[in-house]
Amino acid sequence: MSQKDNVNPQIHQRVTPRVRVPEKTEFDDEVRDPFDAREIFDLIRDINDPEHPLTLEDLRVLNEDDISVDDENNSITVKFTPTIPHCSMATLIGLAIRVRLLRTLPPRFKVLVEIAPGTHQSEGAVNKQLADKERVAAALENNNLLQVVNQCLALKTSTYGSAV
Amino acid sequence: MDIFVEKYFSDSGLEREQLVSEAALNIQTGGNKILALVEALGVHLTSTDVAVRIKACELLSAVLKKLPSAVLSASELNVIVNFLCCRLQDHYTLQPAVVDGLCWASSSTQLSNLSTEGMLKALFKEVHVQSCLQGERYKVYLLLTNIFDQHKIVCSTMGRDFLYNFIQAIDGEQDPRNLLVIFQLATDIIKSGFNLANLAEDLFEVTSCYFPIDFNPSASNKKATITNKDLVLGLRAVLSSTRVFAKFCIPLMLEKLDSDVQGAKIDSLQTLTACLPEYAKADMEPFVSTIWKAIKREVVHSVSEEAEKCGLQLLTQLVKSVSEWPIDEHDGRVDLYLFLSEIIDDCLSHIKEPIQDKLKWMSVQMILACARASSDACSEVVKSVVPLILQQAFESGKEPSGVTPVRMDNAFDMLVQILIICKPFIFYEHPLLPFKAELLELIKSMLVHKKSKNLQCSAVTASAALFAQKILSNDEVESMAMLLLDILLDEHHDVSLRNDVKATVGYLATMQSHIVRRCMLPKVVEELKSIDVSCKQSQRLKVLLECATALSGHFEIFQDVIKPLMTKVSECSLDEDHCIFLKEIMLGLKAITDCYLSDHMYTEYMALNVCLPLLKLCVQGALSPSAPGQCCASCEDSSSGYSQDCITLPLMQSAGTIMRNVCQKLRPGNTANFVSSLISDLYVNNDLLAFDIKTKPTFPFLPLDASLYPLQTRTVCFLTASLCAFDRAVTIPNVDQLQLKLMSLAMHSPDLPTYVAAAKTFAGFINKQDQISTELLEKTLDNVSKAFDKKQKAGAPSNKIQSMTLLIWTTKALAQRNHVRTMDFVDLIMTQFGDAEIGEMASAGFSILMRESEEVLNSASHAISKMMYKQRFFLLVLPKIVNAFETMKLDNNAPQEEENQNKKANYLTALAEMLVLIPKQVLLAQFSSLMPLLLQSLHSKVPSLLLSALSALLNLIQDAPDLMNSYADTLLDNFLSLLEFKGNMSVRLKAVTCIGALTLLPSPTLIPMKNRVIKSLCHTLDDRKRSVRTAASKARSEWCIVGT
Repeated sequence: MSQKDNVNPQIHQRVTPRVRVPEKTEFDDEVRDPFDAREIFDLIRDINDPEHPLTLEDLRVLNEDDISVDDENNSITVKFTPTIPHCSMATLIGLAIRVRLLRTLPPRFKVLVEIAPGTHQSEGAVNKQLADKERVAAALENNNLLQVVNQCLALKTSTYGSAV
Repeated sequence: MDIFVEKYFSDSGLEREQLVSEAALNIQTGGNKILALVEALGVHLTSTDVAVRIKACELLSAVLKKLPSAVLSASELNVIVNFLCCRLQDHYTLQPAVVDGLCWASSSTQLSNLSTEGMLKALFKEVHVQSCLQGERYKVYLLLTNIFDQHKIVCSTMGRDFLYNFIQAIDGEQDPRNLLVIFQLATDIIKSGFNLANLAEDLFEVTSCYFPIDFNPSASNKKATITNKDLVLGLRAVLSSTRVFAKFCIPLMLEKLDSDVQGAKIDSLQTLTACLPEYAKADMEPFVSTIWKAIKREVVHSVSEEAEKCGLQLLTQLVKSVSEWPIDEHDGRVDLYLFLSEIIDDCLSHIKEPIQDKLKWMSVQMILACARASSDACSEVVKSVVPLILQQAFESGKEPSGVTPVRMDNAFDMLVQILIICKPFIFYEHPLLPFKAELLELIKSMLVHKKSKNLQCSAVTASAALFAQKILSNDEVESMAMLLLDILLDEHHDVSLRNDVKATVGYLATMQSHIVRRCMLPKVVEELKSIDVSCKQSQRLKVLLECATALSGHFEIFQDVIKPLMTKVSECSLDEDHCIFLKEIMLGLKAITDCYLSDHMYTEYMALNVCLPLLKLCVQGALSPSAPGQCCASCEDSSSGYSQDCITLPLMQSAGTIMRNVCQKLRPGNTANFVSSLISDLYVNNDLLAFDIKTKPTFPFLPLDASLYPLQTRTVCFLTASLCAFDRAVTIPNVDQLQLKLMSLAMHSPDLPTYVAAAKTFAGFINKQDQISTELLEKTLDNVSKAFDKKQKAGAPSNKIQSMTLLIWTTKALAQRNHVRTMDFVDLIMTQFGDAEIGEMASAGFSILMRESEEVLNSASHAISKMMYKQRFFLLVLPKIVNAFETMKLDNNAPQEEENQNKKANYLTALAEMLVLIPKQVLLAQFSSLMPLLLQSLHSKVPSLLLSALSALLNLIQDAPDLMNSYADTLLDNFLSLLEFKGNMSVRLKAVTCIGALTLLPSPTLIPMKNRVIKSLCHTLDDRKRSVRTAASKARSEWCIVGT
């Protein structure tokens, strides 16, 4: 990468606490826990930014408030905010979010990933690309692209490291 | 010897090793002389065939190497050495074998100087090191090192010759193993004060040519133990060993600093930092300014944090060196001030800028680095920087809010840093004195700065740093201390801020206790005294206790705190009215025991003035209700009159914890013996007089009588907390009687807290005895097995549970000291695995056996605990479990099937409980016998068993993925089927985690399974429980990137 789009991005304090305090019902096997915005946020907050060694949460590309979940009607909408309006990485970020959700959500959900209104100059085009299932599938056939996406999705520390 | 030589030469090579050993032994025991060997070799050494001569030399060297160096006499040794030196002149292919022998000889102290010199000369003349193989070169360097270590005198008489030849020999060396030896030897030579004469530059050239070292051993060769760091440090030691190198070294480092390679830059900075302490004024003076400019450039434009850090360290070292320069005799010029003013001017111009950027930040860091160097530098920095910061801080304080807090933060942070840096230095005249008033004003205003927590925290740090420098007058300290106290007493402040304040106040209490006692303590104590003991609001009390704890670092203050507290406690009784107050007090006292018991004065004081009164309080509490159900509301509701939710129970337990903390630390001596006899008397003889407790004759205190009042028997927990916690040297009167009573109480009390505490206490006693009486053990076994065998009569209460508790704890006490009878007790536990009532309890008891208990039998309580008893226990028990399993497999009687299932589950639970706590090495050694059991237990339907088996497998996968590789398919099948386990989310959670952990196995195993796993996990992504879903999404993400 020769030149970064946004050389010096603003880093924000994390708003949503790292650890979710479970409610009492969550320990009861009889009760079904519904999907909610926080759960979706937890799935995607750790995605790495393609340009910087920071997560999308750090850069406030993702906010818990920009996620809406309708568990009963099987639909989820995630809106993300590129750090600058001409960010060329917007499509890649959107794709990374999509892929992460494809891998971690049950198939019954219809997931919509789009740019928060008015935060990017080619909002429409990017949204159209991200919503096109065929294009997403085709993009993932491309090995180079898949590798970049996997890099974004790789966790910094292994989840299953030694217990010590 | 002739025969031996013949044998050696006729041998094909198989038995040579052994032949050589035999010959060496022969010489060592005096059967033959080494010279005889040389004579016997004569024919071969003069042979016209070079190969034969080589073989003869090899033989000689091999025999020599087997001999301890003292076996040969000095003359023998010298002859051998001279002989070998002559051999060097022979054909060059003989040299490896000869050098081998010489290397051995060089380590001997008996070698005469003449022979040593001869050896060196021959070596330098005949051996062309550069054309040797690595191993031989290594030997040559080793030889030189040996000689230099043992015969320095020879080397220094050879002087220039030695050095010249050494330089010749090491020139062009490339192997890292050899380089390490060379670097070490070169450092030794230089450090020994060897006259380098006109060879200094050559020596520098021949070593510095390696700088900067970039050594990346290939990943395939894992055995290579030499790292880049070893080499870098070796070379750095050479370069920084003498000031003679200064004029070559500094320019080289400055040149390498310009390099684009990050590693080279960092290495240059670090090497220079290491070199500077060696250099004197004359060496450095021409370069100081250049070095400073280079540092500035590196620090300001650096891309890595590491380089910044190294640059700043170098700056500190540079300023430190300059401060040590002698003052110019002619004009009294102090170089430090001139140099510093250059730096300070440079940095200050950036610091004054209003905008925040990296340049400013780095300027601050550089100034601070200068201040760290020496007290002179520090006071110079303070003089020029502090007024500026004060001005900035005051200005931004006046400005309307907006951008200012950030500016304020930075200015103030820098101030705090400077204060901290000043701390370790001793000044002739403290540089901060002129600014004291302004500083105080600023810090005080920051302390009460409501808007920014960060500023407040910095202010607390600043005040701590000020206190430490002792420049404040008593009044000034007092006014600051009161501000701090206000923060501490206001519970609305942030926790981290208050923790900082606590530390600072604690420090003040130890340093200047008179001020604390005069101004802070009265305020706290007054308020403590005024608190109503039956008050239901504990918040304020909590804050006050925290304050008191923080201040108690000084013994007199501590006494002043404890006295009013215990007066308060004596006003209370153990009932619902005072329960909240007492609870808080106990927590506060426990915090004090956690902080201050390292000091023996505190411990003794607390034992007498806190523990005994608390015990009295609890005993009185146990005596006060004259009928069941009167102590509190929850007891009133319970059918027996005493419930486990009784409010007295947690109070007794926390009093017990305090007592335990104190008794564990109490050293054997008068106080300990006094407390021990008092408590023993109380429980054995029911002597209440010593505690000044009055009781009605109709309602006696009988704490060890199972049939009576649970409220009284529950006070047994104080026995655990005191007598079981004492050092083993403390005498405990009437221990035999106590043990018998405890055993019967443990077996017959219907009250859960009572019989558990009694069993623990019994175990605690047993464990600590020097000689456990066999009689007592027999009796325990006997009583317990009788209780197990007893046919349950209708209506009569069974004491099986109680007996099992006692049995488990006793077993633990024995297992920890590797007692011979341990296995008898374990067998008895295992006989109950089939029991419907206590089978599960018995197997779960294995976790008690393996786990450290907080209350008894731990090292803090001075229990006897042998090294690696867990491993030993495990190895003894494992065969029993495996055997039991095998036998159960054989008899498949239909009626017994269900019982067998339970029994199996219990055996596996016991096993799994142990697995969790066993060191991995032991586990891996037993791997082959364990795996079948674990895999079988995955088919069970019992959640607890499944969970322990899964945790054990999870650990194994994480620690020994290679071993688990062959089981991957079976494991995966089992894990996947457990994903559908209904009724227990924890099982599903663990199973899905295990599936995720399987990704740690080698990829070739995983790739064939990948699609299947990803597909199967889909369903679990929609699990009803969120925690399972989260774990599933993690596992699936990991599996998705397998093999990419």
